[in-house]
Amino acid sequence: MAEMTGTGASWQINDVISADTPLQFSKESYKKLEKDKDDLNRVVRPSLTYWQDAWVKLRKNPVAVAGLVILIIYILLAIFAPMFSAYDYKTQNADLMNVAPNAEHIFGTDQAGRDLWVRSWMGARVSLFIGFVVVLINTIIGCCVGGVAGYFGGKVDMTIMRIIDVLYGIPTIIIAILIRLVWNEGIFPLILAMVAVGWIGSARLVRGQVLQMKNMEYVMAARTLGASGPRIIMKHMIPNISGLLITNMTMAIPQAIFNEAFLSYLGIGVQPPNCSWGVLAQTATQVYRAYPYQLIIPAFFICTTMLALNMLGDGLRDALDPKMRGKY
Amino acid sequence: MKKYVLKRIAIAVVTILVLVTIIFLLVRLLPGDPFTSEKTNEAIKAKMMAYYGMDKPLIEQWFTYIKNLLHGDLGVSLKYPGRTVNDTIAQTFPYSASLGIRSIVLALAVGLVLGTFAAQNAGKVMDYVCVLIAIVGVSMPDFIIGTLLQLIFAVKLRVLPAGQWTSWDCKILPVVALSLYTLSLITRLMRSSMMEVINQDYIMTARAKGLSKFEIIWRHEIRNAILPIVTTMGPLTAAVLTGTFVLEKIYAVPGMGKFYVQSINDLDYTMVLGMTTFYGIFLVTANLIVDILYGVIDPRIKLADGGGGKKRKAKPAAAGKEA
Repeated sequence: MAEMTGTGASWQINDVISADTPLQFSKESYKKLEKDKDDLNRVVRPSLTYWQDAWVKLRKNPVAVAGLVILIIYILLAIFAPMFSAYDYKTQNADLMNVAPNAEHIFGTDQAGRDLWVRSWMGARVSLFIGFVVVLINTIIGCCVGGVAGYFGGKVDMTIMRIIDVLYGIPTIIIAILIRLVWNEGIFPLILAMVAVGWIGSARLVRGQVLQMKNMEYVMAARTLGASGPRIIMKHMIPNISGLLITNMTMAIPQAIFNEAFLSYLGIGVQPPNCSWGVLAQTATQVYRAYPYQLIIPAFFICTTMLALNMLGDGLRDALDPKMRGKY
Repeated sequence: MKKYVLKRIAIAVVTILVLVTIIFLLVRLLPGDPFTSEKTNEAIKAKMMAYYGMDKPLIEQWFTYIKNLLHGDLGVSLKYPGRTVNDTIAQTFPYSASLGIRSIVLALAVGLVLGTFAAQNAGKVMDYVCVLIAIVGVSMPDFIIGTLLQLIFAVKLRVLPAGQWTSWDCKILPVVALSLYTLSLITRLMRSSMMEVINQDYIMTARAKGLSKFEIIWRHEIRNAILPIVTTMGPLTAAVLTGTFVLEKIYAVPGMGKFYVQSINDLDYTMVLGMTTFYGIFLVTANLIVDILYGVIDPRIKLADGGGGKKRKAKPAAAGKEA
């Protein structure tokens, strides 16, 4: 203890101090130590990178960790639960209609006698897949468009921003409904429908950040070294805002899952016999007064997933934003 | 300010035009044509196409479409002959508007109070309770809240009616279900914006002047913290509107959302497209109003927008002369 570095001489109490023996000082205790010239440069704590620091902060946030754990459990179950089940998600069985949850069928069966445990996790696959993929594509497009607009500025920026201003006014759900009416088969058009105007949010975010960073020294250094525009955007600027982007993505995934559930609920989302949580909720509403468990199960999954992602997103925002230190 | 408003209006007009064009093109992409289901031969079909002007070149059809739209004509239903989109909207939209306005008012009232309350008690138990309500509310899609509330209060407890839109007690469940999501968003936003305001120097000045706590909250904190809330009113209107699609169906409210969903399920294309056009124009207009309102409320917008900011900084003298 008591290392007084920087004063030129280091003093140290040499006696072993323990809780039960009273402190005892002798002349030996005050002996001058030899000066160690490395003392000045000694790093007391290991230095942490941005990501390590964020991870340490995130781990200290129980709410965010809970969200992360729920999410991981759901992803694992979505991958493995259908593999290890005796039932198939689309085989109908007229003898086993609307069976309440029991040992054989943990979540019971639906109106067509299909096992709801398997269907729930098949639904999780679709819902989570759509949520992640839509947001990923949105972010990639947003990075490219926003990066180009912010970095090159001038006429390019103005043109892109006018287009974005116009598209921003078009409600996502309305475009999604229209696209689904035209292409009603498969998951791809569903993703397209949600990406169509969904990328605008991240494009605006990236542009704003790039505008701020454009005149910073490291960007000038990169430019002086001859790096091209796209390289500076992808290698220098995007990594610098990756924390913000990840937070943004975590918050956007619940919205995408919600949109999918909403479209499925209207009957223009995922088409049977495929299922998602939205489809499960939709089919359950026809019989929920008699068999409430059929509605409560998918409702529980949708809500807890969105809750987990929101909790994780809140935690990530605090952990990844250096300005948020000390708040909350 | 004038420049700002004009720019917003121009953007809104272009947005509506683009939206309408997208809708127009998508109709033409729809598989088949409106007369496929009818048992007709080629000659009759060609005649019907000619009657509805569908044999003309696309650009001409587009002009006719825009012309009809400018006359306020949104088309007729394919499924129910004689029912026009305009009539349907005129009959059903008041119900949706009444539901939507009620829930926005409820969400604003409760959300602002909860958000302010949470920020005032930051870090205490009441703060966590408010944040918990907000985060749970944001995580529940409205169709799930709607059905669950109906299941609990109408089917199990039998204290409130399960549907209809007649007496006041019918309106409680749908309004609450519709407002919960918006309410949570407003609470969250208000809390974080309030937390920022609380740490400002002018609040300390106000406190040093000896103003009462209530006066500080009312005159200094809420007025400054409420600005970000105004910007979200556009997207929130959209959220409430899409919420009406499902909640009106669940609670049997004879509003526009219910008809919209029914038309989607009936594959009544012209009805869907006419209503979509209406919704699109409605939302763009709502966004426009919010944008202009924001410009009126926040004086900084005038300086930041319209390209005036940069010039003024570079040539302060010239700007002074102009003024």
